[in-house]
Amino acid sequence: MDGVHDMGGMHGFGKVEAEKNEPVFHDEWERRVYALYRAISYAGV
Amino acid sequence: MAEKHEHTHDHSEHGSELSEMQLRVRALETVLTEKGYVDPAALDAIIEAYETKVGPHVGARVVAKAWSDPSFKQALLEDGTKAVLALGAINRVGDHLIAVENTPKLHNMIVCTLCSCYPWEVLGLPPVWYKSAPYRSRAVNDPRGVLADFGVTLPADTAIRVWDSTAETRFIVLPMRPATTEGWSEEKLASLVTRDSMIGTGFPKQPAEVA
Repeated sequence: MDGVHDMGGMHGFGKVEAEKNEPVFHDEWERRVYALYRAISYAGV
Repeated sequence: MAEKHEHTHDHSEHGSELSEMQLRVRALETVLTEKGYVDPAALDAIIEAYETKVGPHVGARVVAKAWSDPSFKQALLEDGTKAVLALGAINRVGDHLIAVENTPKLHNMIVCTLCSCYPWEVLGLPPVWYKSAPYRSRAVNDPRGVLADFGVTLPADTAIRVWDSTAETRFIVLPMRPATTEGWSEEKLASLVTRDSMIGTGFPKQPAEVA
């Protein structure tokens, strides 16, 4: 695939910033959205 | 009217501390629940699974077993999907899981230059940096620079191979077993295995760090 999503080799994005002890989810709404996404995939929506 | 307008925007008087995003997500969940597509209890179970059951500790078990059991290591390198399923991994995401072995001469790193493909069944959900533009863009053309961002330096004569994941094919790095761990149990070995060592942006812990 060659398009905007293929970022391999692009320049100018700077340093990788890794968060120490990163939680699985950062906010309560992230938990709910992720679960909704998984659940509706199972439901075939 | 002016008084009413002011009142409707004073959230503290309504006791509402929800952000706009929280309100939107709550509305979405309510609609999907009312239409019968999702069950809030199932959502709770999914969240719990991803916060407690699926995560790098699963991959750490796989690595520790490969370090301890030569026949499992061979099976893992031959067919990662099959070997990991045999260990009882609870969530099969990709069609193919490929384990790539680090040696003194070869260091492996995984990336998804397109988006966020990641071996969920063994590492859980990817960290934010894995999905970020800096990692995705530079992992393939400046891997040593990316490793430096993580404080990792490899010997100059160690080659680096970067594996680009897809929706069908995911990778897990089998890091080198730290020295002076002879006779360690699988459980103790697993405590040395970090998430980043299975992505290739870090090393396992040293025995002294967990002793």
